[in-house]
Amino acid sequence: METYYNPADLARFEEIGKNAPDLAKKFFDYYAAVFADGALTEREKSLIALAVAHAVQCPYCIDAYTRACLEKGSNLSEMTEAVHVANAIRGGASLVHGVQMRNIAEKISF
Amino acid sequence: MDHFNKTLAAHDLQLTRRETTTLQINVGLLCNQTCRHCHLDAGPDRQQENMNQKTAEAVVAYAQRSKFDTIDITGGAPELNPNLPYLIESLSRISSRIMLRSNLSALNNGKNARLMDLISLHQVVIVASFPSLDESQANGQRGDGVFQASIKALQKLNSIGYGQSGTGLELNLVANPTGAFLPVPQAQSEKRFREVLHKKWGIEFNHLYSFANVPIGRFREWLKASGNFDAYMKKLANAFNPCAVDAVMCRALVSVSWEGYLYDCDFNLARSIPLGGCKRTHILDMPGKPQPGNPIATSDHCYTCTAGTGFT
Repeated sequence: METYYNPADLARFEEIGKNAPDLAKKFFDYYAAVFADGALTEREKSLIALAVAHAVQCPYCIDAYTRACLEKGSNLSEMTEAVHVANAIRGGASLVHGVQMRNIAEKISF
Repeated sequence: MDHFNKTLAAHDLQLTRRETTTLQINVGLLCNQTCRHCHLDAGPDRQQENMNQKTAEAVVAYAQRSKFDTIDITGGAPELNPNLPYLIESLSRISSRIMLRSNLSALNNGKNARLMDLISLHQVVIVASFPSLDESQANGQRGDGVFQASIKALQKLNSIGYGQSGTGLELNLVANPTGAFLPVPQAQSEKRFREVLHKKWGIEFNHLYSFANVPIGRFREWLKASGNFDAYMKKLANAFNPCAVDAVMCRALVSVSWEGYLYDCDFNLARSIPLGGCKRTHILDMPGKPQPGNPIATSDHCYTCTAGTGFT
């Protein structure tokens, strides 16, 4: 069955540069620089990326950063906690808007 | 021509020997653990495949006439071979550096007090398997309880001077991935292991080496059964680094099996690919070291040692 997501497409990411090579080069150079060791280690950056991948629900990113986290020395406990961080922020973002709901309800209610 | 050799040829490279400085002795396939990544399929059931006294004596005689700088003793679990003390005592008179590869649990099992004294007396370098700082990852690879046993063994080694500055007793760790993925870059891994082992357990060590898992033996079977084989082989091949070829260990090492036959490395030994890809040679028939310039037998597993920064 055909689906919109194909795991093999992840390896074809660079094809995005075919019709806009300059923009692609700028993006991939920036991407590589972002993930290099800096004030944060490559391992820490991969854990952040894994959490964000879950927040944006990107299957390609989840695949790539699950592997990257393991190859940078993280373990399943750390990776699961990272996913919970994403979940807490997503859930918290919904819940904190409840204050807006309450403000509006209070404003228009007796 | 195998796939690896074609890749070498595409980069205008050849894999040949330089001066052979290390004799690696695989004393047998008997082990108290059945690690899932083991390239030799070693385990407790391999009682018979263990180097006997006669072969051990032939190995010492070969080392005597060849004058290797380094002796690298491996297994299985070498601690389970009754000829290990003889090998250490004899070979330490011949070579300046004796290394013992240990899974830690066999070294510190309560029955090896004399062996602990012996390794310390002869300043044997311990190269200890310690794949992960995470207990579930380590036990998943090496068996239930192995992580805690390894921590206790490292603390014991520290207590007799190993890994401590000024003692001359060198303790090195080997970390390898706990599955079908590549290892953490060595420098990053060493830094993190040093911090965490010191902070959590007060453990000190000298160096940490990151090795990739070799797709042969039990690990190859698991890769195939779990549907990871093709992707893993592709990952290794894609990570081929032509600059790593110069420093791969087989260029300066010769490996001898528990039966006394010679191989280019422990991985070729596991796959029964004889020294130089020629007819099987026994140490009794070997006059000295393999000659510089001699070819090295290769196969698809050689991609393991040339992935990334290499496996030296």
